[in-house]
Amino acid sequence: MELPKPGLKQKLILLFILTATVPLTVNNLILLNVQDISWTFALILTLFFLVAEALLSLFFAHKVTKPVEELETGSGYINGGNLNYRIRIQSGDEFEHLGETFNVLAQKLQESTQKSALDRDIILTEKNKSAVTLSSIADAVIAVDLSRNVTVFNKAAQQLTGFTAQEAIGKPIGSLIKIFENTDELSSLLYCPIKTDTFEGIVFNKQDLKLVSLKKQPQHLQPNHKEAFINLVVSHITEGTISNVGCVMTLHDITKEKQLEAMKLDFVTMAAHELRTPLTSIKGYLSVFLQESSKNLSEEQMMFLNRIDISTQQLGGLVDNLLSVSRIEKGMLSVATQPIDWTPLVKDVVNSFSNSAKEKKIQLTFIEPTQPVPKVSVDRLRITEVLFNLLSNAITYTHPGGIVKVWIETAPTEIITHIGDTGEGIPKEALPHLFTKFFRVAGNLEQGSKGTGLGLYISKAIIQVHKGKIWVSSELGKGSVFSFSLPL
Amino acid sequence: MNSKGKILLVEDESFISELYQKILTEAGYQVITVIDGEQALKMASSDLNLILLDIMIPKLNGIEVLKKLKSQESTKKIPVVLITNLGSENIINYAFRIGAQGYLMKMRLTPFEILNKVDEFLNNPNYRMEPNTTSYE
Repeated sequence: MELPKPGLKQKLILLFILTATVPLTVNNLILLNVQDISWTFALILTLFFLVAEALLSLFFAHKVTKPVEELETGSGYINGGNLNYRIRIQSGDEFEHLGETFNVLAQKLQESTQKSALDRDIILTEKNKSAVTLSSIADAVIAVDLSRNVTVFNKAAQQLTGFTAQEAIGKPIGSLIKIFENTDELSSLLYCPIKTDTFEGIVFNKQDLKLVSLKKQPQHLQPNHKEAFINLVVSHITEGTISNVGCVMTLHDITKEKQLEAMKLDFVTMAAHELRTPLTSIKGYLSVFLQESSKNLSEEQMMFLNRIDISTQQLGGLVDNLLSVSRIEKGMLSVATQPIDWTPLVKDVVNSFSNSAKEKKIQLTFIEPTQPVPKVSVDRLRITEVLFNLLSNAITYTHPGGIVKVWIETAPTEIITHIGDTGEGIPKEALPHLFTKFFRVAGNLEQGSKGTGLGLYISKAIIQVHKGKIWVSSELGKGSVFSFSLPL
Repeated sequence: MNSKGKILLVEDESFISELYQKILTEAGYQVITVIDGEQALKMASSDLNLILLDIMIPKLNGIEVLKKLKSQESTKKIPVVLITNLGSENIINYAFRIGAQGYLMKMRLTPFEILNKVDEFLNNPNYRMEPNTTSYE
């Protein structure tokens, strides 16, 4: 059997007894010696005092240990999780103060624990909110860490690439997708630069990129890899170095929009297409007929057919004009420019008028530039329309026997093309209105209306979109020179 | 039959398709003509040297046909030249982006000019045809 270890109370009792016993015994011994008292009396006296002393010490011990026990109980409760327990000590001494301090601590602990629980709830709610928000964002969101490994891969990203979140998270972004600008591949170092400075914000923003997912499709699905067109915006977060977030990529899927855009045909485009179909047949059959039967036809018959051909050409030009005007009116005139060699393009257009000029007995010349002409960025289709229009005017407004000359001037910042004729010229009053819609200079050289008066209006719009200028210098009766500039 | 090449012509306007077929056949090509997008896909075989593809055709338009052709192993190497009367830059750029090797505007070219382009193309597979802009007479 183990002896119970003495607690505080027991120790105190023992202390009291021991400290009291010695003087008591001594006292008794003295009494015994001094007085003539019997042993029995001395013994009874000793016992009496002993008992009294024991009771007193019990009482005082209890007084001391009660608050201590209370502290012990209290801390036991609180340690066990019951944070409501408060210690009640009213001994009026240091123990009472200690009890109060203890209670304050317990209160603080309780409040702190409640706050933590609240905070945890808030965090969880926010986390859920973020997760739900992230998964419902229509755009694909991919976050990568400082090593460009995927850390966030939302639902839209999964749909866009075909990878699940589990397959993607932790993998380097370059092993999941490839991004192309036209035909050039963009490396992940380019669109997701990992910056270690304090830059915060967008680090990459490009539209019309091609995304190729490297996820292999099941055999029966074509093509081998998912492809899409996207706008890509990548941002950088400054806390990156602390929380290991390198870049956040937002991929906006524009595949459908691209398709729709490509296929969007407004009324005018449709109408133009419809008009061109029979024109194609006329032109096609006529040219084959001319080719195959020219030997069997008289000169007059050939001339008739040629006129049909020219008229068809004009009709085609008109359809194009109407299409252009409607686009200009809608503010939809856009140009797709590319750097090209200017001289051959001009020469080609001039050559295509050689027949018309010959018909009208006009001398049409292209003057070769003396220096090489630098490349210009133009929209071939549109700029050809301009050349065609100006040349057509020049030929129309020049008498038979006249001259039409085309030459190119190279200036430091631009190329200027001149089309000069020895025709009617333009009256001064007409000059300010020349480039407006439907304006036609009254004259006697147009047999039938060969134009709609739209040519110069359209040409001006096209030149302006190219950031160039168009102007004319003319003298009535002598001729005109139409010029336009194209910036280099 | 010893032909200069096998061409698939996709064109729904019979006047135009018959004319092109005549000119191309007389020049020595073997020409197969179909009139809609679904037939175009059906007849697209890997032994074709060229596909001349109109855009506004029934059942499946030319752009969708082009996309399909470029995504199939058996047909993605066949050069496809769009031959159409639509001239929108959007469509032209889109067509080149999805793999067209050329884009010809029907109305601006005589059948002979088209034949020249076809010859040029088949003799030089790297030749890239741009929208023809300079054949106004």
